[in-house]
Amino acid sequence: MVDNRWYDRRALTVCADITKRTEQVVKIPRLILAWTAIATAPLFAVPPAKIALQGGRIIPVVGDEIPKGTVLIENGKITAVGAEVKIPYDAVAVDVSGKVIFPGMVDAHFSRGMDRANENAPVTPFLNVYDSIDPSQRVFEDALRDGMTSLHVIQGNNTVIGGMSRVVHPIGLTPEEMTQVPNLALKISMAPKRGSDRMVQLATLRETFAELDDYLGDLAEKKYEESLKEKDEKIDVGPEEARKRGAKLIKFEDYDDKHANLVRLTRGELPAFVYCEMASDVTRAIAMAKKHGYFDHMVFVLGTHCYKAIDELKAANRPVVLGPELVHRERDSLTGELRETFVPKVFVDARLTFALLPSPDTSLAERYLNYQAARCVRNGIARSRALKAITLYPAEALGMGDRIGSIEPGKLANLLVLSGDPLDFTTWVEKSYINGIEAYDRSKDVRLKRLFGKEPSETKAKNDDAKPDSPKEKSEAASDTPKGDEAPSDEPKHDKSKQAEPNG
Amino acid sequence: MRRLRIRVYALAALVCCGLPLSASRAQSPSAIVAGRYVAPDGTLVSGKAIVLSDGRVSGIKPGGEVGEATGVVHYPNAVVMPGLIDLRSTLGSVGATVTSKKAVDPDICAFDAVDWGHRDFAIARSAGITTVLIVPSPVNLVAGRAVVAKTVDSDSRVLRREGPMVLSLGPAVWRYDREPTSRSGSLAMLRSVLDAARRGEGPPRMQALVKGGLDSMVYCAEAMDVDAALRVMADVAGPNVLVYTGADLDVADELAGRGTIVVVGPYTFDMRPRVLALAGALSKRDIPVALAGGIPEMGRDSLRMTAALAVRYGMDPAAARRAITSVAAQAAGVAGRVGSIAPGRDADLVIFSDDPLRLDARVLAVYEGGVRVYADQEAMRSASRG
Amino acid sequence: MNEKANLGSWSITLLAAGCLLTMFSAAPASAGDDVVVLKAGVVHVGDGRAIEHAVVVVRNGRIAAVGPDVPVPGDARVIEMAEGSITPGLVEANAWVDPTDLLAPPPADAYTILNRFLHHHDPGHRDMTCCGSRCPRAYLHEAGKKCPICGWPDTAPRMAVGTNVGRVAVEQSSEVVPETRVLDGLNLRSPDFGRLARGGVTTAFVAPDTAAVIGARGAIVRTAGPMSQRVVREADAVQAVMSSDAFRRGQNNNLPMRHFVTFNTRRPVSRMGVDWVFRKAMYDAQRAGKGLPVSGADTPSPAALAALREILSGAVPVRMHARTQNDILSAFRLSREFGLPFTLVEGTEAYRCLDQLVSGHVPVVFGPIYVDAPGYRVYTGETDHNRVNTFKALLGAGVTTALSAHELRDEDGLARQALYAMRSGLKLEQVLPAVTATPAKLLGLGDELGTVESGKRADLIVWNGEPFAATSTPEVVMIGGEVVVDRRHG
Repeated sequence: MVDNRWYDRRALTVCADITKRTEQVVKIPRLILAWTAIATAPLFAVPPAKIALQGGRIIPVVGDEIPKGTVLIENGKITAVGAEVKIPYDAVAVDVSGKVIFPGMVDAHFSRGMDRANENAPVTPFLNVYDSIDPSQRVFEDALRDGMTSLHVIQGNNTVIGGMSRVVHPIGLTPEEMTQVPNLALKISMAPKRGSDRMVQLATLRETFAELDDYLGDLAEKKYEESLKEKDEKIDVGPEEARKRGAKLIKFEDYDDKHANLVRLTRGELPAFVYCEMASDVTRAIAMAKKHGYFDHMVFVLGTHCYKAIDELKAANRPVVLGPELVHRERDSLTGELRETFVPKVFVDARLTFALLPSPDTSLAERYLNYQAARCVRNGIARSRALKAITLYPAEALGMGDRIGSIEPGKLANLLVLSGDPLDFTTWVEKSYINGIEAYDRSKDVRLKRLFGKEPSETKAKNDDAKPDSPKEKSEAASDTPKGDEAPSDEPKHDKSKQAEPNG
Repeated sequence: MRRLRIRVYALAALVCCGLPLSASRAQSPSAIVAGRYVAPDGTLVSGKAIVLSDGRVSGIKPGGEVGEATGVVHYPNAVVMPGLIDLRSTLGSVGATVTSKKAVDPDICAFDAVDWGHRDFAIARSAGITTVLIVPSPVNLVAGRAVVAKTVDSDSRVLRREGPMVLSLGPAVWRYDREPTSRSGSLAMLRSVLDAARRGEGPPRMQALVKGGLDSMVYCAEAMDVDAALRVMADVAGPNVLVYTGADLDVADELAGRGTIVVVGPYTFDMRPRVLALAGALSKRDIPVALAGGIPEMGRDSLRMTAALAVRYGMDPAAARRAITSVAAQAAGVAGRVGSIAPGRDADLVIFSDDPLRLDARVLAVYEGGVRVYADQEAMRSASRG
Repeated sequence: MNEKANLGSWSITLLAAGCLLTMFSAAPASAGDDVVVLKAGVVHVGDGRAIEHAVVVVRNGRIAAVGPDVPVPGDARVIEMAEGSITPGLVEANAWVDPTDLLAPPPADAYTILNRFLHHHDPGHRDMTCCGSRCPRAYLHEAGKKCPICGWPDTAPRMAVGTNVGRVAVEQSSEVVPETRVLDGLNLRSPDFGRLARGGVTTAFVAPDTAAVIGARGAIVRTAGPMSQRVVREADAVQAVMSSDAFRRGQNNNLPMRHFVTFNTRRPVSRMGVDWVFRKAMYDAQRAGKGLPVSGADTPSPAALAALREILSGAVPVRMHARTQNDILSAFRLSREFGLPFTLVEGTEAYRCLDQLVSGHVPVVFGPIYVDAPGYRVYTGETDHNRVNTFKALLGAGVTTALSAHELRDEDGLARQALYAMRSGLKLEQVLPAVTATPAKLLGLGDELGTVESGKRADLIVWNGEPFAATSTPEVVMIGGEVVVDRRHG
């Protein structure tokens, strides 16, 4: 459960028309009062509409870094960024001196947070991750802690054609609250579904589109027939002409669930995230996309082997999302020598931008997206490029490059306050703002506190999740928050004397 | 009429007597003259005659000297090779040499498991293999003693009844139902057995082994087993022979200069190039390499195929020919009897239609102890037609 | 940095300069001397000191001089990293190494075929996945074909899989096998050593798999270099396992894996059993030492008894592997009972036993540091009370602690463990000794390794930035003066 004890519960509602046809856009979030169970909680009437983060080092990702400056947030958007910014009198000033302000990181392909990433059936364009997102999964809490502010929840790679994806914030109690952009894209995989092979995979794809054509033809014929029936006329043309005439009569509501999304896909109205495991998959992906009309809106999701198709990827010039495994390893069968290729470097050398992904294995260092960026810098990629690969480029891959991914006036206030440089692995996320509202505060992070040894007594530790905050606990917790850029200190002098252990 | 019958009978008797005579000329020649022969250094030398006497090679003479004397058999365009020696054989004992009750069982003897009348021996002869080392299955740490025998059907075929002692390191030795279950366990056990033997305790054959009275052949699955064998047996005699077919070519660094013979093979076409390059890599460092075929399980021609692949992947052809003859004989401890065409050695010879390293070379005839035990008339006819 | 340290570094400099002056003023390096000079922005000595713009002169595999103004012999090779730093080579105090060549496809060789003919089973240890568990498709792995489930053989394991290989790395015919040696089962050519070396680890104590209550004696090896110089010590400390690994690891314990009753079915299945096996072994060894007969179930073999007596006499050091507080206290109990000083390994809940560790002068080889438990640990249930600052707590309490990555490699190897330690609030000067000087001392190699000081072996790392930083790499790794890893040229 996204822990509701250490932030005031606010619903982030999307007031938009959720229909199949229109592209979803986040309208201005409604701010709703929420109270904790014990009503004497400190009162925040309405979250501040204007916040000025002052005195920190700003990494806007686009443009030069500002060694000491201010970011002004108004009504959920960034309205000013700079060394000298005029702050309105009614803005809440937050002192972030010594800290770094960084855009919230974006995960462009997140196949977790659902109960299962894929269905058994190979072709399922009618599914929607909305039905599967489980806001209570710890993975969302971890994402927030690790500095992610947008997650593109999408089906995994074990499919042929998957369902519709959604961009969410890692905070919220229902999928609606979490949604940032509903129904973003369709998932397609060129790599064989488990238990199958590439021939079957490609055959299934072709069959699907062939079946779509048949379906459209039949539908057109039927529409024409119906129109004639209405006018009480007889069919006087051949099937082909009937189809042509009938095609003009089809309205979008006529498509059934099974085909509606495919129709949009082939019309170029729906992006597709296409997973390619090997370089040869890239060739086939491009051919299939061009043939069936979705090439101009496809986004590549690539396995390490695909770096070998760099020329085709460059010619295609579509956004690229690189899988979390960044090193391709091959062993020479003759010499036994192991050859390792750092895949992002190949893309940088070919001047192709890409988005990075964090590893789904949470026991590894690569679970942190900024660590992945640091690996890139370690392997010779420019710092600015690496930082864009975890912020702006994934935003652009999601078609949201105008709204998130950098600290620029006009963009949504999805920001992080870091204790240090993002590429420094000793850095922690201190605060996270989503749509201008403080969504995460490390000083109140219960799980992190426990990991650092600030756990309450044993029995309470077991029941931690169930207990709500008490005001006393809250104020103690607040006073316990370490200021400055230190990690929360561990329990110190092994003091046997009874100390009120901080709860919360 | 009676006189005619007698004459016919006499003529028939003469013919019958005469036949063996003429046959025996081909069966037990006094000399063999062929296009080329394989010298002890493995090279092909032309224009020589191999003089035989009493089942042995008595000398090598220039071909012209022998000429058309009686008892001389000519194989024009052919190549004479010492009879091939297969060091990893289970002839006559397939499936009969597996026993894994005790990890250390030096009293086991492969000789006891061999069915000497098995027809596989004839097949081996037809492939040119005249001597085999039949091993107890290397599934025990100390697997027992191998037997070195000829493939000819004769009472004196066994060259060494209690041949090299076979030891084995590697996963084949591990079991669920007895120790050892791991490499470290195997080596701890081996160390304690060798220590006891050095102190004069334990099986007498192990004591003979550590004192040098019995030669050892150690099967190694991986390069680390080679390291271990050299390390653990450093204080005792040997190992004399290591059997290793793997991809770690740097074992050559430890083996160079030690005189340990390495038995490599069998090779098959689907093996990794690095493994196939092992024989050549070792041989280039002057490490004596013998090649093994694995008859009958690996097939009739496996030994020659192994040699051909070894040459294909870098082994010197002369070294490859030695590897299946003289070095193999050394490894089996019978180099004084077989393995090379030199005065004093047994006349175990194979007549090939061409260089035996060529896969299209056929076996024309096989001699063991100077007696022809196999002949492929069809092949000989087509070979003489050239 | 206090004055003493400054004085120390200055005196070293003066001493070095003095020696060098006398050595070099007369003539250049004598022919046959192999001299390498390393230059970097800062040299971290390994005991908390840092020397700016220092030069390290290496001669014939030893550090000859360290200091800012050391004269450089003219004909020496120079390795320079102006923006970088030099640290001692990392010493891994408890490596669980993949003992087999996991990444190579199995030899589809005639030996295996012959063995199949002769009715032998195929060793399945090469079919591990990257997380150390067996690939469900393991029996279908074929040479030359990539497995679609686990990516074998191309998957580079993040973790060495020796930890789950069980009977390959540890003798399983008994739970008490101190007569065996890890070195006998160790493949020094394993690519795992290459991974260790590329991660900056130059020396490693290779511990046995935690599958036996009293396991094999570990080996101290160098991770690269000529084979003849790889082994530093053939048989070092013996590892006793107090954690649940001792009864949880045997694959053959659980039906239906068990084909028939073997000695594996006798192994303990509980902590009581583990303690009992340890006690029985020690009691039997004591009795055997007094000439009394030993009997009963699980009597150790004579070779094992002899080895146990060596342990009891103190000739063989003891390590105890334990994660939970309960198991750590078990270790203390048994140690007291038999008078066996020990080193604690892993110690996930060591923060709960700080007093005992301090008063008992117990060194700890701690690691790995994690938020979510990596590999098989998750299934042991012993990581629930893990904290990310345990290492910091140990250092703070004054416990001699070495940091270890155990089986983790690459992005989670020892260098990253140091980085995790810094992430939990420690400084480089506190963390560096825990991966260099302290483990070197614990292994009894403190005179030879662990710091960048004149006279010690030239096991060094040249980083292209700050040591351990996420944006730095060990560009050059040197073992005994020989460069074994060089990432500088492409």
